[in-house]
Amino acid sequence: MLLCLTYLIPYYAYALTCSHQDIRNLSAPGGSLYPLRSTNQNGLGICHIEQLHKMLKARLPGHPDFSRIQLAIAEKQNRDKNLLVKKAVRWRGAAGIGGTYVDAGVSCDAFNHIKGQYICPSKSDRFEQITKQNPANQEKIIETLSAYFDERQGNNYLSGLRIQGLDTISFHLDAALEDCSPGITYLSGLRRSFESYLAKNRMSLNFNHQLLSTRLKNLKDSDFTIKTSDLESGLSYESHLKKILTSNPNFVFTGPGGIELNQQIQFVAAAMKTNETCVSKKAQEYMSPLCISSIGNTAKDVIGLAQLGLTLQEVLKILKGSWDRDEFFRGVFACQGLGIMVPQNLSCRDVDTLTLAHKAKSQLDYQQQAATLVDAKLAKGIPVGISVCTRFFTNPSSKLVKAGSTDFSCGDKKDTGYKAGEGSHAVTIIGSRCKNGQHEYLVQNSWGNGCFYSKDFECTKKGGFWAPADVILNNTRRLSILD
Amino acid sequence: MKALILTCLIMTSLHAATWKAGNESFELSQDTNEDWASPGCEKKCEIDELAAKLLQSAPLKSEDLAGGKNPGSVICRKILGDVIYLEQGEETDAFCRLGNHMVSLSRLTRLSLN
Repeated sequence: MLLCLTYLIPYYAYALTCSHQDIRNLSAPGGSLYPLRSTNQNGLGICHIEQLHKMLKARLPGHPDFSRIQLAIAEKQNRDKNLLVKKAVRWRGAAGIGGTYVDAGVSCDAFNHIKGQYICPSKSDRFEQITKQNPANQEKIIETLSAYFDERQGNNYLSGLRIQGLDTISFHLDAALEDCSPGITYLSGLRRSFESYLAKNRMSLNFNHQLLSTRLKNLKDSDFTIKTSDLESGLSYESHLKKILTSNPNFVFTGPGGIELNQQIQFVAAAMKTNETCVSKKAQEYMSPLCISSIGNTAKDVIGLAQLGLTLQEVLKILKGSWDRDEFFRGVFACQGLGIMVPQNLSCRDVDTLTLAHKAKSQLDYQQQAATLVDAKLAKGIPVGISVCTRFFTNPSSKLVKAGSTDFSCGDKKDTGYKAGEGSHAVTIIGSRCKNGQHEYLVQNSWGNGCFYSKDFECTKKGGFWAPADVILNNTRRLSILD
Repeated sequence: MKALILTCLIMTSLHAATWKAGNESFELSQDTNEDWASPGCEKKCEIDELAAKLLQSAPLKSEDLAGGKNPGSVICRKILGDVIYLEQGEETDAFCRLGNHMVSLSRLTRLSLN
């Protein structure tokens, strides 16, 4: 008996106990995260966005759902434009303590760069649209998105299909973001991009306008056949386009594969015809480097696919036949004038748990301080983003945050408890309860529905798990709160 | 006997389902961990073997999981499988497909965590 007590005392001395029977579950009916669908970012590397999605949903009036993919792309676009955030990205990518990979802190950075912008609502989440594609197309989409979100990986693949994916997404996001602004249609975004392209490339294209308008009516798919050898020799798509439009008098561009290019050419022709493009102030405005050239994107699409040895006809078949790319991305990213503005009056703050722990009198003191912060937010229906070390997912005895210390050896191979592949990961606390006298939190992950955690934890069907609060806080590097 | 057959049918319906992606359908069944798997993968198949070999010869690094990537999806790509999404009613899950085999990504995630 004494032996048992001796064994138990140290454990309970550190455990966060409780006596109330209240259950707070923000994903339950009436909660600020209801309804919560299971989330699965599947290798896109956007755990901080999954976290921000929940933090934001809970704080928006009526708790609407919105596209996580669009949110992720909006964040990335803005992150790339902002040096301060680039700094955060560098930190996030740095090896070593606290920076093994993306940290919850990044979700506050992400929030700061979408504040005041429009994000797309979701009738059914944009991720779910991927499920409606056939598996072969899904794989392409996931690969493309993955490369886009992962700079390091993306840089390694800046050729072929991957780069076209980046530009395609950028372009469509560009259009979609405009579309999120009330009163501006998708078409205007598309047109602006064409105009921008024209404004930049008018001289080099040097079209014969009269000839162009005649030939536009007579284009054929076969006229677009580009030899791979031409592409390899460096002949640009613009040059091909020019060559095609100016040299073939019988150009009839029809068929399902040609719609997009045909549209582009029509836009180009229309803009040239009205002669507004290159003289308008608007066009000058759109000449900023951030503007995306649709024709340029298509060129890269074509070049990327042609490098695989395909003809343009085959390329078009892929782009427009089996995978209606344009339609897909339009569906994915455009919000059809129903954008939700991210409120300016919200602010996101991070709480460094290592600072708390360093100043804490004991481990229990640290746990209680952190739990008080979390509980206060949950009581108001506010989820708390946490950056955790994945080590505790399967090892509840893991304790990386220690009272009196500022160490956080997650990902440190020299650490005795190190497990290959472990690292910081952004998840969200969305509930709390008292079970058998033990204070527990409900953690929502973004790795799908599976239950692969410690057997001491209780999985939900939505990809979350209940775990003792002290176990979670012992492995939490940072709290992120959207106030 | 009828009761036995009925029980078998119920058991079967509980552990097998049709998952869809677009117009394509996949008949999958659940393994003991409630992960989904294609016929021939219920217990172990090429995907598991390749994943196990991969993790043994080249364990995942923190960098591989940058951005909090799902370890299952990272493993799937490393063994040259395709990550795909399927839906079953209102449920959505992601899978690793390699040749004719398919398993829930969570099965690979479990492999990497344990």
